[in-house]
This record gives sequence, C-alpha cells and structure tokens, in this order.
Amino acid sequence: MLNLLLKDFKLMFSQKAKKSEMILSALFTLLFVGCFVAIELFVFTAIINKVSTIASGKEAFLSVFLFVITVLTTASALLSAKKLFFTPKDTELLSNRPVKSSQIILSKIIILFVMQTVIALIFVYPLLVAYGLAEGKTPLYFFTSLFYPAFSFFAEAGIALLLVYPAYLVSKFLKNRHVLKLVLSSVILAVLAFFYAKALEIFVNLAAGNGMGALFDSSNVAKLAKFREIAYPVNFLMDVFVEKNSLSFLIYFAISVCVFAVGVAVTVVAYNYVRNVDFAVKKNGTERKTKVLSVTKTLIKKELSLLFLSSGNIFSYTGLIVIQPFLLTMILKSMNSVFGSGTIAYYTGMIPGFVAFVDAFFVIIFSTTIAGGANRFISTEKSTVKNIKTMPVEPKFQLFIKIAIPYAVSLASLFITIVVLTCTGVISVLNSLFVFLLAASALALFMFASLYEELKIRHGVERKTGLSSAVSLLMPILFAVISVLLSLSGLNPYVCFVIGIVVYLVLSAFGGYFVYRKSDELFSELEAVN
Amino acid sequence: MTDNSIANETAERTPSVVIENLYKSYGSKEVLKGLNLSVYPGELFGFIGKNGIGKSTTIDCMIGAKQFNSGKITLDGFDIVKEPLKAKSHFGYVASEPSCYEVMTGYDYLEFIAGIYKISEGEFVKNYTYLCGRLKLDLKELKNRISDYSHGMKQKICLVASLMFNPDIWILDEPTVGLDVMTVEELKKMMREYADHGKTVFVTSHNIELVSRICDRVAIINNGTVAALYDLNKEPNRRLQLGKLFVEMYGN
Repeated sequence: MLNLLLKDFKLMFSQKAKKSEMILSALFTLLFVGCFVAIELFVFTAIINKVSTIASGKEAFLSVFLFVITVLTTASALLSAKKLFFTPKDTELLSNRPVKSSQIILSKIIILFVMQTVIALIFVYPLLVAYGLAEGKTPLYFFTSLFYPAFSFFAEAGIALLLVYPAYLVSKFLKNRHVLKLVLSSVILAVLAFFYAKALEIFVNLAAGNGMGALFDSSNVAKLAKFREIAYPVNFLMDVFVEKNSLSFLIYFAISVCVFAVGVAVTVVAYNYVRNVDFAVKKNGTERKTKVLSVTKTLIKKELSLLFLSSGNIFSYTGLIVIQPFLLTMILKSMNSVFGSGTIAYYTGMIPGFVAFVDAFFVIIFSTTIAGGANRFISTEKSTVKNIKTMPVEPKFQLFIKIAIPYAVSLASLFITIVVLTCTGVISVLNSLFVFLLAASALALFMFASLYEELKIRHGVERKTGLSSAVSLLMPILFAVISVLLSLSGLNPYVCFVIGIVVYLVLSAFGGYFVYRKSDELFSELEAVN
Repeated sequence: MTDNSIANETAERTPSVVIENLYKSYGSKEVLKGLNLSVYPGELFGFIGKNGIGKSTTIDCMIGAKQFNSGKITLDGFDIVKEPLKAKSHFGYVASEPSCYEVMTGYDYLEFIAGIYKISEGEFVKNYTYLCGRLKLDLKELKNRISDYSHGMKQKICLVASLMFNPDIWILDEPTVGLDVMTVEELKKMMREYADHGKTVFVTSHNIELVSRICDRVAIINNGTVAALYDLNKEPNRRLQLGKLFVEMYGN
C-alpha cells in the first residue's frame, strides 16, 4: 500500500527536472501561493470592513469567497482525479501487477484527499481566521475551522469523482478531433476573457474614482445572502463551522457522504472498465489515400501539425490566437473608457496621443505574449532534433519555415484584431495603421529573438528567455514611456509612432540578418538527444 | 570464389562509408580518439562495444547530428561536413529510441518522409506497402496517431521511414530495442537482404548473437578507436567466439 501511495505521489508531482530547477519551481509556487493568499485576505478584509454595518454582510461575503474557492478546488480535484485514475501508462503498469483493485483505488483516493485538504487548508483557513478575528470568535472556532477542508473534501471530491469519467470520455472523444477541440477551447477562453474583462472593468472603475460603495449596498448584500442558501456545500459548511448548527452537520454529512460514495462507485466501475476493456481494445482505423507533397509544402505541413495538433498548444497558443481580437477589443474598450472619463481624462488630455500609445502598448504586449506560445521552434522537436539535423534540406530553409508559419498565423490574428478594433470604433483608422505596423514589426523582432534563444539550447543548458522577454515586455514599456515623454515635449504623436516603427524595423532587420548569418553554425551545434 | 578473390574484390571497391581519424569529445571527456573505419557496398557491418563507449556518438557524427572535433567522414563519397545535403540524401537512419513526430498519424509521417526525400507517389505507395507488410505493421494502424502506438510499433514506423527512399546506406543504432522476437528475426532478414542487394548496412547492437550471426564484418570499439576488426566471412570461427572476445576485451 505504501508503495502504491508513493507511486501515485510520483505520478502527481514527479517532473523530469533537475533538483535545482525543482527547488526553484517550488519556491516560485510558494511565492505565488503566498501572494494569492495575501491578496485574497486583503480583498476579503477590505470588503468585510465595508459591509460590517449591514446585517449578515460579513457572512454573505464569506460564503461568496468560500464558494469560489470550492468551485476552484472541485475543478482541481477533477483534474487530479483524471490524472490519478485515467493515465494510460499508469493503468497499463498496474494491470499486470499482483495488486488488488481495491488497494489501487484506496491509494488514489488517499492521495486525492491529502492533496485537496492541503490546497483547501491553504486557501480557506486564512479566510475563516480573518472572519473569526473580525467577529471576535472564541479559540474553539479557530480550532474547529482547521477541519473545514477535511469536511469539504467529501462534497468536492464526490462531485469531481462523479464527473471524472465523463471528463475522460470527452477528452478521449476530442483527442483526434482537432477542429472541435479548437472551437471548444476558443469558447472556454472567450468565456474566461469575458470574466477577465468584467473583473478588469470593476477594477478600472475603481481606479477611475467611481468607488466601491455602489457594489456594497444592502440590496446587493441581501442578494448574496440569498445566494448563500443555495450554494452547496458552503451553505451547510457555514452553518456547521460558523453558526455551530448540528442539524446542518448531519444533513451535510448525509448528503456529501452519499455524493462521495456514488462518485467512488462510478469511478471504480469506470476505472475497471477502462483497465480491462478500453485499453485492451485497439482502434481500428481504415486505410486512406496518400499524397506526397513538395519539400516546402511538406515542411509547412509538419510545422502546422506541431503547432496545431499538439494538445499542449491548445490553451497556450491556438485558442488564444483565435480569441485575441475579442480579448483585446474588450480590454482596450475598458482602458479607453477609463482614460477618457472622470478625473483621469483631465490628466491624459494633457498628453496628445496618450490613449493611442496605451492601445499600442497593449496590442504589442498581447500579440507578442500570445505568439510566445508558438516560439519553441527547436524545443518542440524534442527527440526529433535528430530528424531535422539529418534530413537533406538546407538548415536555413528549415528555420525559415519554422519561423514563418507562427509569424504568419500571429500576423493574421493581429490583422483581424486591428480590423475588429477599427470597426468597433475602439481605435481610429489612422491609429490602427500605425498600431498594426508597430505590432507587426515587434512580432518579427520577437520571432528572431526567440529563434536565436532556441538555437542556443544545448544539452543540459535550458533556454534563456531574457532576450525575447525584453522584446515582448520591456520594449513596449519603453515605447510607451518614451512616446509619452516625446509627446509631452511637443512632438506630434504620429511622429512618435513613426520613430517607434522605424526602431522596431531596424532592430528586426538587424536581428533577422544576425540570425541568418549565425543560423548554419548554431544549427550544426544543436545537440540531438539519444 | 576463393578468400583471396573476395579480398581483392573488396580492396578494389570504393567504400561507401569512410571514417578517418575521428576525434570527438564532450567537454574534457574524449570519447573518440582517432577512429578509422571503412565500410563497403554490399556489406553488413556490425559496430559493437559496451555501453557508453562511443557507438552512438560515432553514428551521430556520421549522420551529421553531432559536430566532431577533427577527422573526416564521407558517405557515398560526400563529406558530411562539406557536402552535408548530398551526404544526408544517401542514408536512412534508425535510432535506438523511436524519433518521429508523434502528433502525426503513421500515414502523415510516411508522407512527410516521402516529401522530404522527393519520392514519387507510385514508389511511395509501393515502398510503404511492402515495408509495412514485411514488418507486420497493419496498414489500418497508419491512420492512427503515432502517440497512440506501442514502443514496438513506433520503432517499426521508424524502420519503414528509414527505408522508404531506398537509401544506399542503412544506419541502425540498436534497432532491436523494444521489438518482439518475430520482428527482430524479420529485421535480421531485411538487413541481410539489403546488404545482399549491394547496399551498405551499418548496425550497432548490444546483441552479440545478432551481430555474430548476420554481419560480414564486425568492429569492436574501445578507448575511442577500433580495437578489433573481424571479417566473419573469412574467419567463420570468430562468429562463435565473438561474445568471448567481447568479454575479454572489456574484462582486461
């Protein structure tokens, strides 16, 4: 059993990385979690201070925060359960070992319990403590709150286990349906972008001086209090841990244990079915007509396959490139309304072209960051570096295709974005032309910088991303700051744009020439992994 | 045909693989220290040695996957450094671990190889049908993604891809890893037949039995050079002694 637990622990956390990288990654995770909890606490305490005079205001907002965390931890439980129960290699490995199915399931559920309880403890307990301090609760409250994550596990894991097999079936169904996968991921990203824009709108409204007061009047709080009544499992858990209602405890326990038991039963049946039937049945494809293409078309097809058929790229590139016009339109719309209204408009009005510079800044940042999902030109090849090194095709030509495909895709997305921004009146026609040229040249420079970094990857030497990060993040900031300063000093904003475009074009030309000159040498130095 | 006549014929022929004074180091670690080798058309050449001794490094240098410090390698008369594209179009290569684009289907990958090596449509269909048949790779499986294949099937698709364009030199680095017994036997036959058709087969393996049974000549690498070179056709008794010679060499 201990061996099974260790194996499942490795399945969830093991990474093929060096010790130093793992320590660094753990430190970053800790830092991220720390920052998240700090922000969460800051926002929560700020809100409950604001609503302290409204009846049940604190409880209403505590329930909202707890519910959001419950949704997130349930999603996390779903992903963890899918990995634990439906990883083909793990199932294959266990299928021929003398281990009882019940032991396998138990080990996986224990790992799930430990993981979910720790995650919930990190994100939920600080909220309960903050609420307890604000309410002046007794030490018993702080002690019993420690058990909140363990109790919430049954509800969260129960729902996750009920959904894990359907999720597995959906992912299996989508596996080779690339268009459908792209459409679905685009829809998901569009929904996320919508919520992101909404959150941004609230933030920018606050920044514009409209204040938070309107959000926290008694009618809104009453709505939230009503929401609490239906927000399972938070409604019961709040009653148990905050109100100390033992009847709710019994009801919650009965419901959540039932959900959990049904979830476990469904997962056990599904796991055994997948192990014994699904993995054993081979797919029967049918023969198809073949077509031999020219070298150029063959290389283009290969790059497109690596870019669009790799499941890792769906959310990091393909989906984002599709929703880029939508995302940028919403963000720039929010930004422009902030800078064009209230007290901020008075100050920005003193800098000619300020809003256009901000728009350009965001377009460059987003275009290059999204293009960053497709700039792993060499590292995406992995063991097939040997293939590109041994094929009888000029290295320069191979690298040209490698860079041209993602550039063309990113450029097309940028073009559509600019058209949408212009048609929706977010930016003027003249500004859109300048912004397009600026972002297109920034993208070219970004691609050359990324290619150079990729060609410098050696055995045991990870890619250094300083150069591409400078192009995608530092340069737009410099452009915006310098343009604002030049504009303040009386220079026409369009001249500032022209200067920016010329600088980007010169740097791109230099970068392109430099990579072109060095490409043969760097390509031959690339190391294939045995 | 007498032994002398075979020897004279070999001496007159132009070698298809020539490695001269090859030096390769990784940092301060010298792996190859002046390795010399010639392999002839129609020859099945075995290149053996213990783990980490430099077999794969030699192959990586031969195929242009790794740079070397000094020396010269020619494949079918083309220098791998000076005329890399011509040299690369003359060999097919199979790595010990399958290295193919797993996001592609089997058909896509074979079409990719056909496109890169400019194989005609007719020849492509004829070759993949024949090779898949030989290696018992079901054509229906070619429609599935390579990532769904077993290790053995991935290795089979790499073997098919390496021979798709009928190269003059077939280079195999530990090709039997992960293959079932039936496929290993078929592969042995294929290597032998390929050499018998006048092509060059260069194979590395840990499997002494495989090498001793099918190879014409065998080189054992030690201390970065060819420590022993046996012509198994001339000295048939060496076929039985190869394992012993191998152990003795590294034992000492």
